[in-house]
Amino acid sequence: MTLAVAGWRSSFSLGYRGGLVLVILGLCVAFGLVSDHFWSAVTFRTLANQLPPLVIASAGLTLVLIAGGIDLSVGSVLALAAAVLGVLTVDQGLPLLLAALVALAVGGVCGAINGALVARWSIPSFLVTLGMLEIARGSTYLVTASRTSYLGDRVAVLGANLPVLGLSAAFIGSLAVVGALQFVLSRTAFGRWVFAVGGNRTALHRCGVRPSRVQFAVFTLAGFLAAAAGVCQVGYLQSADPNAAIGMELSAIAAVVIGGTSLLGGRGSVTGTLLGVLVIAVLQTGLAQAGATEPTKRIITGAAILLAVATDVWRRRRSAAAVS
Amino acid sequence: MLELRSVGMHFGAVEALVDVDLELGAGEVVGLMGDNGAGKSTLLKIVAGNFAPTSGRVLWDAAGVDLSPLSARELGIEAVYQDLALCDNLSAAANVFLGRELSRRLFGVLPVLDHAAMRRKSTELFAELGSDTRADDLVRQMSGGQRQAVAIARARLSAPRLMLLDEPTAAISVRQIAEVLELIRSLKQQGVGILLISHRMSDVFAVADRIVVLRRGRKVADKPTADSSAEEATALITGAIEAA
Repeated sequence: MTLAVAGWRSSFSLGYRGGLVLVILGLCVAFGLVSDHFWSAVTFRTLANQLPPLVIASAGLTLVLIAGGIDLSVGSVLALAAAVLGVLTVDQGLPLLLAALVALAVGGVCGAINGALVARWSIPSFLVTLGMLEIARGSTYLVTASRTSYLGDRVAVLGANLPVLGLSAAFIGSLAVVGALQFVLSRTAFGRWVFAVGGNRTALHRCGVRPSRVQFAVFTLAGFLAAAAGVCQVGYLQSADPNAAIGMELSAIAAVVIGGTSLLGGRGSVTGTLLGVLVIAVLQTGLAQAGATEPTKRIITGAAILLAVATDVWRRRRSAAAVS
Repeated sequence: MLELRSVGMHFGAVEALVDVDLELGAGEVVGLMGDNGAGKSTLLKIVAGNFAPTSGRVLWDAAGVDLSPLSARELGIEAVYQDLALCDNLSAAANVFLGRELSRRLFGVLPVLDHAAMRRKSTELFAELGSDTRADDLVRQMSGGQRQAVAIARARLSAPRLMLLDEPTAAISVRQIAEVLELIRSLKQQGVGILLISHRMSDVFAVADRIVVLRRGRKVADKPTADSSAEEATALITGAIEAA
């Protein structure tokens, strides 16, 4: 079955995603040869359990990019949600569930503000979310008085490992988020409209769907998911650091682009983004184990991003060439 | 079916349309011609419900109507604009059903896209139009004629009684023009009335039953295509002949 993605040619993108799977396997084999410790349950479990925040935040970002926008505020919103969770549980003594819901709501509101400004007043999302990046980070320092909250056992339940394979609930949850969003994208009318907004918003408008509503929904969802990523982060680290996730928006954009989503909008997938996160994570872990220094790691990660962008341009040319 | 009675439209001091009468019946193709600024687009937008005329009346089935984009659509008037408004990144079927997606219920509750039904129905529409467009092809990879077919199929979806085609043969190759003219003929055969705006004299004379010429907002000719010629139409458009 071809995943039934009739909205766009599925075979092509599946081909790209298949290629990414091969790249990931190739990297694993290569690092296995270089390092004695790479092929171990510990490596993979550690890898899997540190992934959820980036996976969840990047999944939300993917929809924003497909709709032709960008969200630079995901890292800051993540930190703000984490801070709210920390302060409410530690300082205010709120129950974890209630505090987590408030944190998620705060993220949703940040996203909704982004969405409203982009959709209603047609301000470029780059500028709107750059503003939100600063506002959310500033609010984080304000809320926490620039101090890290240590939540300890209070959030143990969030970071707890499931009996299966020693994987965390957060990891399974992040896979569920990816599955759900991909389902929305390829199987629902709303998903179709997200692609349409990124392709030709005038066309969507003429067909009776308000593009501004789709944009608003997508940015709100991205903010909400950034907050969910923040809750996962707190569960994993058992603390909320006001400096958490600085620059994470860049890793997230890298993951989305490596995953085959176009920066120009109109094309992409959430499953591709998951693979993009894996490429980055395997590279980072493998290079660290192989003894690469931080500068080398960054240079190689940067090269991987350039390679993905070059592939994107090449695919665009090829599909343009098919027309003439 | 459609009747305009002394319709006028002015934008401030600019008179875009003056006292225009027009009738269009089922299965009739009317070619609307005129130079840039003659009022063709204004007339089309009035019929599509985008503009309300400042004077005169619009009748539909002999009853007066106030058209809005939505009510025009409900009456069975569909417009295909020159820019086509297609999403390049979506398939033909996705474009045909954009905003009117067919759904089915997964496990009896979850509404999901019914890809198979949309593919089947668009394939039917393309076959009806005699077009070789394939439902799964991306619009990005299509020829101008195929794009036109997608836009027309989308307009056909609601089984309209009147279609407004704005320059459907501009900016496409000669072979594709033949394709589009064929689309218009098959619509006519199915009893659809067509108001065709075109600069291309030969296309209008190839498919239209009647030509209507506008010059500076006034109707200067309205006659069967058979009683006119490209030379006469050109002269009417430029003003070399006052009226015919």
